[in-house]
Amino acid sequence: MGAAIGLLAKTKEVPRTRATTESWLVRLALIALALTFLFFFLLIPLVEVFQKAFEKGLGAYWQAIQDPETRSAIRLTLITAGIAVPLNLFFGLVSAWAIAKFEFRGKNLLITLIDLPFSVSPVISGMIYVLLFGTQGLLGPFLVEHDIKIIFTPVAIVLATIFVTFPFVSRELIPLMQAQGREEEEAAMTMGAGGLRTFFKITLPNIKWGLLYGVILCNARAMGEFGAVSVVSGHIRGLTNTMPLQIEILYNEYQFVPAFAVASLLALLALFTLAAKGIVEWRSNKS
Amino acid sequence: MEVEQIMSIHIQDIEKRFGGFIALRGVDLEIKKGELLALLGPSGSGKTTLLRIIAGLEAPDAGVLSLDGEDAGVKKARERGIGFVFQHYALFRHKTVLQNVAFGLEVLPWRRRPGRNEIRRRALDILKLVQLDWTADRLPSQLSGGQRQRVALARALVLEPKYLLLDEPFGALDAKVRKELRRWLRRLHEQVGVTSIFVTHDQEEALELADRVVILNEGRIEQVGTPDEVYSHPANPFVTQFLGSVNLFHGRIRDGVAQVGTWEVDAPEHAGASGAVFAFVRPHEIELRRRFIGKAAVLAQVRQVRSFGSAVKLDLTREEGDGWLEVELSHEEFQNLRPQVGEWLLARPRRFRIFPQPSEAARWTA
Repeated sequence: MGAAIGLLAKTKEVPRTRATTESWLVRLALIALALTFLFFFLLIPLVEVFQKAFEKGLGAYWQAIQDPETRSAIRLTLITAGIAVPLNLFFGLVSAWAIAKFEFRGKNLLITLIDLPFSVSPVISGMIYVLLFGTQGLLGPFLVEHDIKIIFTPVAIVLATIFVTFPFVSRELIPLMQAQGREEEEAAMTMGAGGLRTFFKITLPNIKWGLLYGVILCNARAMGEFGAVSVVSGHIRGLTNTMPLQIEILYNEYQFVPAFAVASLLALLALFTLAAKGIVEWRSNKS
Repeated sequence: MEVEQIMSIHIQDIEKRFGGFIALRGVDLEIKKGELLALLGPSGSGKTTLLRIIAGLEAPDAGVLSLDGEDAGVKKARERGIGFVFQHYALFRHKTVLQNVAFGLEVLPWRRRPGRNEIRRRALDILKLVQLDWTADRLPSQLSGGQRQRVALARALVLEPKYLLLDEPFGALDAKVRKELRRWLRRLHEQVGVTSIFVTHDQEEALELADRVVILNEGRIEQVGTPDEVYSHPANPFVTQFLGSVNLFHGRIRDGVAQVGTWEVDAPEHAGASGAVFAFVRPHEIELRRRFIGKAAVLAQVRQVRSFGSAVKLDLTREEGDGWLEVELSHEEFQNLRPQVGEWLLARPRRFRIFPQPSEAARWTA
């Protein structure tokens, strides 16, 4: 018996042999190829963004960001994300809960619908809102009658952003919750815990890292969304421009330093998101 | 069971379907206070569904369930005073062993909830009962399968339930741990005395552990009885085949006498029946000889000899018709006979169990 265990332990330590791996040449070539690709298509453009932004020095950079229209764009982006992300956190949690833990008719339809924002072009998502709420749109006459403006206002931007970022949280949670099953919740219930208590004490701790991961991705997209927002925004300066839209306007006006200054902020958000994502992944693997 | 023969759980005509699948087709069952009952059946027989209905995790479509004389239909799972042990333990993965066990006490309504120290003490006490108090601060993922199972049991017992329900409690464990835990559960049951019901598809487990065994098939109860009753006096072909290996012979019955091959078997209990019958013979109820004098026997060829454990098992093929014959000899009998693979021998059943063939024959022979 002892000998058998010793043998088992030994086989575990045996290094990968030629049968299970490629030669060092192939490995090196593959790694080099991947790194070269990353260097030219990701790293150089990223460095370029920061280089252009600081081309005329720190003062010009600071001034570009101090511009009132730019500041208004930053504010609108933050407000939009501040509304869209919590709402989608809630919707995502509810829909994932329903899909993963219960059987009901039309479940597949619901899953398809949740994926819809991912499968249509963001521009079309924006068009849908114009078709719905525009003066010529389906609800147009009603809105005009009651003097409610949606299209070309921040409201439309928030709505479009919610639509586009809807799937992130639920997509992240559905497979996770399905894999975890219902047994732990059932166990909590047989032990006397009510629905809310079960959710906060059992379900939420089990999914917290997945939830955070979804929220981070959702936030990145909410701040970076261009297509859908562009269609419903109307590009009213200082009012309905978000950061991505402001970048485009500045760039088209040949104001390269301000354009890249704002772009560098979005790039920083991306780097921050990547770091946060990395930490969350590391933590969730650990737990 | 000399304990007070009070009915503890009363199940009457329970039915349950999931979409097109009928899980239970009218089940009646009475469970005595303090007994250890096994729900035994193949997968899809409805045994787990029945357990979950008793627990309140599923609602029956029809029928009455009463616990201690009270209709349980309106009671939620948490109001029934049950402890449930899940097949895959369902331990809270982010809580330590102690927190897992203490959870039931922590979610008690505040008027009945003990103080923090009292909760800790009671949780540790119950962990001591399952000999796992030393794991109190570990996470479930740091325990072995058998240890997790015992934590799940401790967690189910901490609220001092009136009924302990276990769903395939040893299903995910290896054979040796399973045997130990089985013995250990039996002792625990004697110690705690709580009415316990466990689900299993393992007939050996049910027969060894339970006071009474309920055999389920396709949503119906086939037989209820003590392990000895169901094993020695199976009520029908299904139970006979399900509780251990069996050899099948075909025959016909008339006036209480079955004609099976060249044998005539008295079957007074089926005196009224006529027509085709099944005749079952357990492997250890067959005699093997090189010659029988004056007795009818069938010729069979030895194909395989498996010698391990308490008996020697032989696979033979019958000369005519019905294919395989499984025979179990004691080591002594085997030494006397010394059968060789390929050798032709005479086989003679000592005992038949005769059952008239039902018209829907396919149901049994499958």
